[in-house]
Amino acid sequence: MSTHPVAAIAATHAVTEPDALMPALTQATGPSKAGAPTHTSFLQMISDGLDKVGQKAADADAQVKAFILDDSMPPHRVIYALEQSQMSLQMMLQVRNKVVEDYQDIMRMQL
Amino acid sequence: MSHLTSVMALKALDGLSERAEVTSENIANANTPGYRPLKVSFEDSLRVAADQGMDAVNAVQPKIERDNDPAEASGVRLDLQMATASVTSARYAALIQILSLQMQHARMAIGSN
Amino acid sequence: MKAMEISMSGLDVEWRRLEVIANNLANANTVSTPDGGPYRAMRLLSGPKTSFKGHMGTDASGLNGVAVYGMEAEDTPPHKVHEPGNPAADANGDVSYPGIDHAAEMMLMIKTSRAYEANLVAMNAAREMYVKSLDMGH
Repeated sequence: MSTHPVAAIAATHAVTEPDALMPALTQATGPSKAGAPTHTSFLQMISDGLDKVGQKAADADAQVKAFILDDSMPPHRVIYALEQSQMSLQMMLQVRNKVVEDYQDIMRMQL
Repeated sequence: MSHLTSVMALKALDGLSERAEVTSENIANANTPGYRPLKVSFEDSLRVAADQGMDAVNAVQPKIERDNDPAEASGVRLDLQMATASVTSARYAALIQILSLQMQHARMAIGSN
Repeated sequence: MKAMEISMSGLDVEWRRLEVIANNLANANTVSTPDGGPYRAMRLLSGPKTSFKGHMGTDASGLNGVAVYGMEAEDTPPHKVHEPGNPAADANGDVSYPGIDHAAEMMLMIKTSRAYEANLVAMNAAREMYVKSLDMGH
């Protein structure tokens, strides 16, 4: 598991038996992409999402560094990268929250 | 606003930034003997690429070249250059505004569920 | 932001050119200088900063604005006025006044002021773009 902060947060609320809860969770987080396999491991999906967040954060960071050191770096690019980075993080947090909510609902049902 | 349109907007902003730089350079060289003004083009190649899809749009780069317009034949025309600087600035602001609205829209879509 | 810096270099060069012109006009009647002889009109020499490769239209890395290269004296011969009483008069009673073409100096002053104003317009336009980009997303 990566040491990315979002991954750490997600890990504290990890679903212990993802495959058993798969159908309910995929339904709760919205329709899958057209053409994607219907039973992809849910943790894989989260992991891919986190990779993307990390990637965008790293990209934004690199652009900020370039901007600091080189005055010819266009500011609109840097700010766009920072905004994209923030939005992808928010997206992941929303997914995380939904997963946690649904997991809690399901756990309540079983008791 | 689709992802393709956002990329097009960013490419247009790239082009306009270059144009601002080149226009500043032209004006700064107003009194350089023998200086030939430069210009930036990207609108035509962006228009063509838009019909060809994302890869083509991603490949678009603004081009800096000598300005062969007869108006600029005998050196820097300060009036035209100043007009270009003003217009470029206004178009840049407009695209920033448009992209901003698109980003706010996307942010709202993420926020709601 | 590069566009602003380029315009600033233009402002600097034209400002200094104006100073040289003002100095020429101020010394229009200076008949003797420490070097001997009447004052000679000076011209500011300027052009693109550092390398010339940018002017072949490759990429933006060659755009560096302008810089002062130096100054050179104009070749205009002094104009002689017959003033036998003047301490600066020569054996023939002629005084050599600086060969300054007032009309030319005024024309250059106007041209230089216009260039200065244009650089200011370009710098402000570029700064507007910079400021607007910071607000993106909000």
